[in-house]
Amino acid sequence: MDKQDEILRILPLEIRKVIKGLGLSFDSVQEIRVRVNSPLLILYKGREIDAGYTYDRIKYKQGLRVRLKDVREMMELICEHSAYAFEEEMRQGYVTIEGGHRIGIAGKTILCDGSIKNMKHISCLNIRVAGQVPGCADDIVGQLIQNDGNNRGILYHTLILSPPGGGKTTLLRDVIRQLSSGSARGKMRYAGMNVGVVDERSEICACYLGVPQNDVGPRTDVLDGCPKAEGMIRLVRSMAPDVIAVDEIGVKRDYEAIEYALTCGCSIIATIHGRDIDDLRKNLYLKKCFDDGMFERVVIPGGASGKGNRIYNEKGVLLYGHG
Amino acid sequence: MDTVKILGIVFVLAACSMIGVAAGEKQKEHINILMSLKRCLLTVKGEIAYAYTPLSEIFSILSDMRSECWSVFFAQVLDELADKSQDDMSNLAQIWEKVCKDSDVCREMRKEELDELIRFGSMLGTSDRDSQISRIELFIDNINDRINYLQKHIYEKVRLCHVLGVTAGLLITILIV
Repeated sequence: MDKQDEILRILPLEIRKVIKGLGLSFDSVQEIRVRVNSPLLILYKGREIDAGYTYDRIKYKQGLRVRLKDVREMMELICEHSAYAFEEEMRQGYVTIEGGHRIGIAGKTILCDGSIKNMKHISCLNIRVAGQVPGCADDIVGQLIQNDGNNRGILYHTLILSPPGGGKTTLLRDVIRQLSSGSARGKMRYAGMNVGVVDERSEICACYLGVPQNDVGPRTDVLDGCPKAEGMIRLVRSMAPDVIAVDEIGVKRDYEAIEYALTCGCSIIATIHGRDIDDLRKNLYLKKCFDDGMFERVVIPGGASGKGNRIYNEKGVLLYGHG
Repeated sequence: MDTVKILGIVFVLAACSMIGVAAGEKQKEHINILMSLKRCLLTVKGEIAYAYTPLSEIFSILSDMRSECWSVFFAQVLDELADKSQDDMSNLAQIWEKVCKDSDVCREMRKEELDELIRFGSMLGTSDRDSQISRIELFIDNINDRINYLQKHIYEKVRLCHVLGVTAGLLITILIV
């Protein structure tokens, strides 16, 4: 199934017709925003397109808008007609579909003892189209590996940092693929590493029925849908990974699990939200991590093309790229 | 001439008796169909309770259970679900009802049983895990009651079918001769 089919299959017929009618290349579609009683908006090549207006201006003037019925139908398709199977995802506010595309969900939250139990009256959806960019980490992977002299590379403990939509996960996925595959090129010669991925949101590997749909290399073990902290500990105990990769760390128990993994001799590569290294130092747990020298490298992705990636050391000194 | 008549009588009697036997077997088959449905529902319940498996995956598992007469039914539902290109068939309840009306195995069911199966399909996947399991258990209880009732009366019904077959044969013979 290609990217277009993966997205179109969760759309109701009317919206599907509009999007098909636009003739967009799905490799360049970044987001599709669906809001009740509002225009259907598509982020395409960095520009926002009002899909209804572009598709049919006459109908648009007559009120071509997203209806409540459309959103309900979409929710049924997103949840594969099985609301019970996505209770946890609904609680978290997003569902990841086949292909690793993440659907953000907003509506009325149902609270129980002060915490979110579920969501109802869903009125806004944001389809974030996942993209694999093989090779986007080409220029940085070599910089993240220290050679132990036997052509067995050891990955520096690395943090990939960017705001939402900045390409963290895309870069992480390509780093995982390259570490897992190994390299025989000149100075960058290193053997493939066993990489354990804790893919809590199914975004990195896009597992479907347990099998990664994205190329994450031949030596990659994936714990799909598993909470990060528990997953990291489980991987260390069960799969003996050389590298553990996780997406979007943020809470205390994530750092505790990372500390545990570090004491077991694994290298860590993780992503986190933030604009720059100063942002990281504002985070209580991360500040401690940096003070303790837990992360040795910080990567800031350059963008979808893979050009302009920057690498800093733990002191914030630029090691690679242009500041 | 008499030989021909006797042969005719024998054929008519044999044919009617066979129809009676077939009707009796159909009664037994009806129970088997309900038993098979119950086994399938237990699988559905197990998958939802244990693994939160989405319905499409459950239907795929059931369609692979070739020993169950409902496997074709679930394969049909799965096919319809996969075929999202249809204009008005993206709703599971509608797909379920359509397959209930078209499927061979459903033709063997009584109207009230079929109505209940359609009602069951309309709530599938629409609520949380606990509600789903409760509904499935309720439906299984109803099927159990129905099976118990049929099993209690199966002997009489089968015998009635056999007797009616032979009697009908005799009646036709008398009328013809």
